[in-house]
Amino acid sequence: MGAYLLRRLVQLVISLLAVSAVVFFAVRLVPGDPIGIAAETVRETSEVERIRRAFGLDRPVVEQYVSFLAAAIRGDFGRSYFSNAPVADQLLARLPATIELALAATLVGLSVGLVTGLVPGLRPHSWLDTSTQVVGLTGISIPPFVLGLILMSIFSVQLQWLPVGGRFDAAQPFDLRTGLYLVDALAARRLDVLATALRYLALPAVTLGLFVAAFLTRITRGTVLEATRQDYTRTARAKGLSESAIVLRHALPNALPPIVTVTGLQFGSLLGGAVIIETVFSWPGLGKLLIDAINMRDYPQVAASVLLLATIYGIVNLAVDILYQIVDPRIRLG
Amino acid sequence: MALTAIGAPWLAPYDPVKQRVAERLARPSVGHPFGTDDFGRDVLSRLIVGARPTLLTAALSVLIACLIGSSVGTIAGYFGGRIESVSMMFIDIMLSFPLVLLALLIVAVLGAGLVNLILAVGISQIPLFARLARSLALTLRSREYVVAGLSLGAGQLRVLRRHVVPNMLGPIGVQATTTMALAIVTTSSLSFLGFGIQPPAPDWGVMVFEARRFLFDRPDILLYPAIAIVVTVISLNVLTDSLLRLLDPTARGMLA
Repeated sequence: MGAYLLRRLVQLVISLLAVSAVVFFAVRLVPGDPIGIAAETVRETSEVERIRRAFGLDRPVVEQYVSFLAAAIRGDFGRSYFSNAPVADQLLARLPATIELALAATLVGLSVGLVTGLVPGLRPHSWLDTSTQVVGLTGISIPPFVLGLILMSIFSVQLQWLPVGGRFDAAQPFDLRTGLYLVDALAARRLDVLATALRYLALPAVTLGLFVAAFLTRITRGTVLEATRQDYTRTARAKGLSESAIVLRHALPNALPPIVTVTGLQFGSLLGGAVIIETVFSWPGLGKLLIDAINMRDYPQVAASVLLLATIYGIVNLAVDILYQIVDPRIRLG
Repeated sequence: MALTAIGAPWLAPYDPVKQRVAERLARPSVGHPFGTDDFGRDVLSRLIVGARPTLLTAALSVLIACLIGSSVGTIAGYFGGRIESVSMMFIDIMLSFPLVLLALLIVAVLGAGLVNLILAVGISQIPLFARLARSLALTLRSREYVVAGLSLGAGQLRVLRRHVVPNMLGPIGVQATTTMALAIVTTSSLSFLGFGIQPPAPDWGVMVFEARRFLFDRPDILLYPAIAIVVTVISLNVLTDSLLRLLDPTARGMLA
């Protein structure tokens, strides 16, 4: 296990190095000088040259990459072309919002997806099964941004139950400690803060969560169905075990590995979906930061956001592989 | 859907981009079954004509991904060795990015626009085909008829063309169908974000983006392009499922 972990970590580092190179050279390939755009108000050529030098854009590209990498390892991603604020600070400020959204969505996805997969999986071809399958198929076919806007139209615009966007009410002062509203509100025992945070979180989290749930439903149903056809289930039934004991003790544990894998694989779509959903709901996370940065051609910001998102993706994939081994001890990683 | 896209210019009752401000935000009526938007443009016409860029970008991007991905994967899997390790290394690097993120990065580099959108989505989907083609070619390489063909003195290219590639077409076709669904989602998402097809062109993603403006007055305008996208994607997913069952009843769930 230790050796495996070490090797996977080395692999992760190598792939992140490759990702950083791709990102760096990609954003340097862009036609059009970002400084030209940033300094549109500055007419003096010497002033533009001074800014170029200040950002290190006058040096060879490879040299720029090496210093970018060296700085990135120290957590320094340079300064934004626009706000001139350190990019790393921006990322750190936005990271908790994305983590909160991703965790909440995963929670929604797992709870909805497991139940809607488990129950019909046990009663195949019942009306419940058929209707869940139809809903599940629709679920994986609705792009998250469309679902998000439909939910927003119903719950925020028509019913006016939930806010249209944002993460928290500016009129309600509350100091964040961990950056996660839900955690901080619970720690401070502020139920009013918790309620407000949940109201803002509800729509984006449910939108993304349903997307994950739709995939999970299909996989859970299939694997549970297969498990209930196995000999050990028949044996358990012959021994006279209750149906719920059969499901919880025998069918579910055997259905877990594929479910874990799919949840892990879906995390990439979840991150990608989060990028888009954050823009739909003006959720101030990494995804919105990235989209804004692309729109403003703020390359240090683009590079750092993509790198951070890819890093999260890599770490989660590694975690899933390890979890995979825990739920299925037969799989020996080596 | 495909027929609608082809017949769009004849089917659409109004010019999709012509503005009639006098008739703006009209409720659905006999003249305009789905009403008009804030520029007085007929929503039904925009929907019908919008099928073209939406389906075309998705189809072209899948074509790019399929051609490049399958060739790279086949060559890698069939020949093995250094070609395989180098090309798969590139594929693995691409897989280190979530798909949408990779497409976004490419759009960020190339800039917004129709052609760049097709390229971005196409490139980001190459790994899907490359991995599948490689594993298929790996299995096929050791099949008796391939070995027999080679030992009879047939050239590598001939064996590849006559015995390997035909046997790969089925699974790759299924992958292309399911990827097409994914491509519609990705391209319309990017168009929605403003990185793809540019307004006022009638594209479903663009239409969803524009519908945001009148969520308060005319929430139904959002529904039409939304339903169009969802119905198309569902059809493709159902098609994938039945193709899978047709090809191999045990292969269900193999494709992600």
